[in-house]
Amino acid sequence: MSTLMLDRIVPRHIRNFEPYYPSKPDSVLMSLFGVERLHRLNNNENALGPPPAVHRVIDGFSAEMVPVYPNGDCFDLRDLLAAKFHKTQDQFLVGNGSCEVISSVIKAFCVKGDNIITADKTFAVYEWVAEFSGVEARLIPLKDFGFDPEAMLDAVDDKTKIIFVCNPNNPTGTYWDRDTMIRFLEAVDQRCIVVIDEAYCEYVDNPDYPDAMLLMETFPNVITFRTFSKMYALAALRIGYLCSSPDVVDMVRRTHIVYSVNTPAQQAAAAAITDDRDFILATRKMVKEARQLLCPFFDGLGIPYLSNQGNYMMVHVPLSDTLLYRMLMKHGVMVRTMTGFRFPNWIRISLVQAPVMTDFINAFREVLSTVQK
Amino acid sequence: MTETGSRLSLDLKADICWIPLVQGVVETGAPVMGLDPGKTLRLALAAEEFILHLSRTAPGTRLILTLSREASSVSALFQFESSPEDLWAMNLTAASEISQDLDQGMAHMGLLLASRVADRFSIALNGRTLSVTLFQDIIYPEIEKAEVPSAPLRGILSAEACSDPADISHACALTMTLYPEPLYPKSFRTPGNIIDRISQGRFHAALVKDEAGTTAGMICWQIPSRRTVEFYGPYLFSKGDGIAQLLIDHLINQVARTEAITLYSRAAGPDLPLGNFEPLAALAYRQSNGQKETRTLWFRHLREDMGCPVWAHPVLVPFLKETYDRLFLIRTIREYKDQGGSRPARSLLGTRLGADKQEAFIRPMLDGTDIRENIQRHIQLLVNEKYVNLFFTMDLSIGWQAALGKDLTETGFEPAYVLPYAGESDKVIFHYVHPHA
Ligand SMILES: Cc1ncc(COP(=O)(O)O)c(C=O)c1O
Repeated sequence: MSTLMLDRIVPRHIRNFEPYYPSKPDSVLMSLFGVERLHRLNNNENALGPPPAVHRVIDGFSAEMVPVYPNGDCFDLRDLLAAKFHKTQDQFLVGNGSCEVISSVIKAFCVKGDNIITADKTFAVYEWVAEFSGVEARLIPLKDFGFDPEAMLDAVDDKTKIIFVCNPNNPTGTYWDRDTMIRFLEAVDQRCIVVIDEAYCEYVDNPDYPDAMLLMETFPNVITFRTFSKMYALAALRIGYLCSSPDVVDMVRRTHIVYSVNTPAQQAAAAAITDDRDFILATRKMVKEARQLLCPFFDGLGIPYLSNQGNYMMVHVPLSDTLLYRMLMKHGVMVRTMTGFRFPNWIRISLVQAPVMTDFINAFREVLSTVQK
Repeated sequence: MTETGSRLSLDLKADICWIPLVQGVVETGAPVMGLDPGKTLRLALAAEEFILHLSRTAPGTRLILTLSREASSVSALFQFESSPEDLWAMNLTAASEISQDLDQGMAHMGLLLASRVADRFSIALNGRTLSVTLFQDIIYPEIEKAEVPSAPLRGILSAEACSDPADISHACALTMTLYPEPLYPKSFRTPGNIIDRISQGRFHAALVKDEAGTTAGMICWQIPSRRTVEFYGPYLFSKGDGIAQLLIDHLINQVARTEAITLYSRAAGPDLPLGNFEPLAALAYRQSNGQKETRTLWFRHLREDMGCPVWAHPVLVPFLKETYDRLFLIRTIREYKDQGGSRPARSLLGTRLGADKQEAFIRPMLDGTDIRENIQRHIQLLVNEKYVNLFFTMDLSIGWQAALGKDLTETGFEPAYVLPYAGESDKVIFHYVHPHA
């Protein structure tokens, strides 16, 4: 009879929401698939590992530091971020991964009946948080694999509180150039918040790529999301942040949980940004080399792919992506299936060191030859 | 008593003094929920027999009766704390036993009647709480086949979810014209059923239309269990490139971000775009004329397979290993036989009968030491009544069901296919092999 009780106390939008089940630990997966090693090419992690300064912070962390709470709102880190981006401390809010700040932003601006606008084929968390908060997610189809500014503007109404633009987009790697972004922000005309998720911005070095940190000087309704999980390779520590105009951040702060970011994460993030130039260059070089291996490989097989920005690329495979995943796992290679991103029969591959990419190529070739038999 | 539009509920003690009240609730409630007079009477009779049985066998037990409208049926749910031992009388085969031993049988006559007058029933045991649901299906009018339009399609084609009654009816009628019967669900003949289930979110349909609004194709699906989606189609009503792929893409995109892992079809026709799916099994389906027809079942996963453990009787292990290897599914097979602990004496099997005797589906509901004989009794009865295809579904996440592997193979069933994630883990569907076929 407990189900009857749950029926009564659980709101409909929670009952209808599908919980997310993260993948099992690597050790479990390795034993299930019977492999000795596992190349993780599924989460867009930076396989080079964090910058050298981070190693020193982690090595220096001792058990004596554990009894004390972390700083509740990442004071030192925000100080450093403010200096790096020529802003003030009160323009930053740090979270347990940028996923946490997504939630804080939606809570700050939306009530039931409001809507948010984003794309149908992008990072899923905007849509998920909206839905389990009882907020409508208007999902605008991508156009030529990129966000469609006109269609997104057409969807705006007086209940629209936030527009999420993933720039560059995960998983397609497309981005709006500066002109497109500025035209879009002008058309939005301060009617709602525009979040520009720049999780992968450090991977982009094209001169026409817009920097939301600068745009927010002209458009105070812009919020940018950044993360330490991707370029800076701190994914295990869970730390990311948002930056916006002081008035906007002051509102989001009210719904944001304090003390959610632990001490090693705060210290490692601070170390990561203090001396990151060479590290970023080395990572970009690795990604570029990986592309130079993979693109000709897929060209040779006549398999279509998208190789744009970010440390990943997407491939349109000639079989079910979820079957390919299982077959590649038996070779110790883990890719991301794209059905969940509404790209059935595509996979996304993280771009990492050449020897691992070569292992991927060999496994892919072998799997394909079994399927074609 | 509480009432919320499509649900009415009574909380009482099992006592014959409440029989008129229960009758009254069903007789007034069911028609309001859309059930016709004949079926209302049957449901009232079933409810009456049920409470009579409880008042005799467990007087004073607290009983919650919930009458509700669910998509295309009205159901009476009985929830009470009890040992499930008496429920054996709901076996399809119980009648002969009861008539043989009238003294002992009388006490169970009510349950037998209750289960016979219901269109379907289901039973769930949760801790000590037993839930028995009796269903009466609503009757819908049948439609005629429709003429296929010959005008060419115009402009860009697009796929969209559809719940419009006229569109659905028309698409069902076109499907009946263009496709042979096994390729579409019987409910297409009575689209009112589909429309009701769509409006309650129990069934889904999408159409591809051209710019002039002409319907070019349809795909339908439903969610039989938490992690599976079964689809029907795609059905194509016009010639046109990519209609099938548009429908499949629409379907996949609709279910891709849900809890579902397995998307499958037991009746996909020639228009399924194959690159999207994997063959799950080839089923030797028998026709009434004794001939066999091979039906291919197709599936795909909607996300990464993380693997799971399954229970299996040792006799089933070779079949499972072969299947899992062929499908690249990751499973930890744990062997499980009857462990010899105390078991109830009498088992219960639920049977769903196809209207045209083409198929019967048996599902184990309660374990008991007589389960092997019970399976045999069911086979005998169904074979005598000339049912052509007998299926038995086993949930590999439930130890006592998995332990039935030996009993099933020794009574003439063969494992036909594995349906990944149809239960907590996988289910195996067995097919009965007629000794004379
Ligand atoms: C576009 C985008 N935004 C945000 C995140 C979340 O990053 P985190 O919560 O690790 O900071 C990710 C991670 O995959 C992402 O791809």
